[in-house]
Amino acid sequence: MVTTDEKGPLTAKKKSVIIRSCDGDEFLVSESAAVLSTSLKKILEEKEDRLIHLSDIDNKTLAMVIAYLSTHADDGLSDDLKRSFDQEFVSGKEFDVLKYLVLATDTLQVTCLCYTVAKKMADIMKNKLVEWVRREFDIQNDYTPEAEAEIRRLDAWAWDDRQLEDD
Amino acid sequence: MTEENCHLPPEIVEEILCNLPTKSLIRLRGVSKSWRSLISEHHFVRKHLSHAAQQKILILMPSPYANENMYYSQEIMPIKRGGYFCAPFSGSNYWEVFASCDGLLCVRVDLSIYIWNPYLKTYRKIPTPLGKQNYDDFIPSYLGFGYDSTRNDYKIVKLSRFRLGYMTETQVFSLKCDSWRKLDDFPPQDYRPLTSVFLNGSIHWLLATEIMGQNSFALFSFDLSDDKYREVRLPEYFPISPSNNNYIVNLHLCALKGMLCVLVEWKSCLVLWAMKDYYSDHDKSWTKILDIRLDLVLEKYCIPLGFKPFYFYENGEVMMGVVSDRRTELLICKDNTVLYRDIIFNKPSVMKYVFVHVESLVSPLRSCGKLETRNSTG
Repeated sequence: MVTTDEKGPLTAKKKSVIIRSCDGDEFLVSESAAVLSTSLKKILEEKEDRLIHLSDIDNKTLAMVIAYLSTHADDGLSDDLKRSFDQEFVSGKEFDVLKYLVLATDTLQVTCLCYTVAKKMADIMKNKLVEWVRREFDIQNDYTPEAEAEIRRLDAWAWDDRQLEDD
Repeated sequence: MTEENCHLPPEIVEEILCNLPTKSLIRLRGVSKSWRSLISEHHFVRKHLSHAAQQKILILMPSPYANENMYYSQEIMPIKRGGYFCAPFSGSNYWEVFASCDGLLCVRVDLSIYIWNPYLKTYRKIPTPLGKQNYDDFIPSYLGFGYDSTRNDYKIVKLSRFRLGYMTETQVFSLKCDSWRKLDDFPPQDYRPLTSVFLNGSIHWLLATEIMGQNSFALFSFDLSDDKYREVRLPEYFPISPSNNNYIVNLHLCALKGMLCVLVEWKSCLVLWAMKDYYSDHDKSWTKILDIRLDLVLEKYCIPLGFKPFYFYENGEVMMGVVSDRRTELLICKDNTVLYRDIIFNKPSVMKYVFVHVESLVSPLRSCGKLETRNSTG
């Protein structure tokens, strides 16, 4: 992940940080990429420790976040390229994967990635049945059957089941 | 995946939901009681609105073929044709939208005003203004519509009309109070309103008066939070040089990307000015963003009937509606060139009733933004 430093003599040799996931794997990340996460930046400011342990982010998710951070820290890439990377980054990912990713961006405070993932999740949810949404978000239906029937009746135009998906 | 289910905190759920279209959110109110209350909360409605305004705009255009339908074109680029909004108002075959704000449309149907959110399929009839009403009291340019964020209220302002030597009062309608009240006279007596635009908490009116056979223009802003009005200096579009046969035909007011803009329609060109910094010294903040020859905008032998800039892109391009005696077109212009044009109708339509609209959860039934459970449409 660590790219070579091309900034010349003014910046000293590029610093790196080691980030450890909850399953114990370690990732070497350039400091310029790590500080794009507000929480990592805070940790690095507070202590000299170059090893950061994240107890609630798994390997797979952490690898994705780091790929994102490293791309966005790369000064050689134009904003347009970064934008298309973002699109590519979330495309084709399963809803479940995106859930863990959005949680990680919340923990690590990477706001722009959080927005990108949230938008993609909304895109997937747009035409889903209410039952699908309840399952994915692990929500108990607390409406009585009568109350739910009444809601469906009142806003019937928004509940056109023919166009909605359950998977 | 791990065995335990991954639970998303409420602030993330909110972040996801505010990206959804209105129709999906109406349905998702049925997920649970807590989702229902989240989606109905004022701050969520506002957040959803600001997301929608950034991501997706619609252009509403009255169809020249059928009165009841509104053509809408969606997505900023490329211009895509959408569908039709069908008017829910029964008993009339003539209606026109005269203002659009936060997803709410102000519609005039005969002598009545309605506030309508087509995406919520909800509308509300506004009570008759105070005093005796006449048909010409409802000229769209005399009416303004906007949001008072200090009171979280939507307001309609109906300007006074100078008729047979006397003024009828300016009146303000509050959605929250559901009533009209009278104000001290505004605007200055001998001016007549041309267009109004809502921006930054104020309705802005472009006014005209005739002095020695020549049109003279003035710009006033009316603050919805304190009923105060003040004059705003117009861009320095002078001097008019009589020698080159170029004179000002008309002025058009619009709001583009949060900027107050004035389109100066000359005999042979169009010049668009934008007020870059609204809160600074107004004299210096007018910047020219378009200066384009009319023969590039219009095709040969077409007679111009109306122009309306809608949208200002990040890269400086401007989307503009152009109506001539032959057709209705959408143009993308930059600096002094036309980059793209799309014929919408092979007929003229009424450009002053064309609006940029966003999809929102703002309900006309209660201005506090809470969604009503009942639809007023049957």
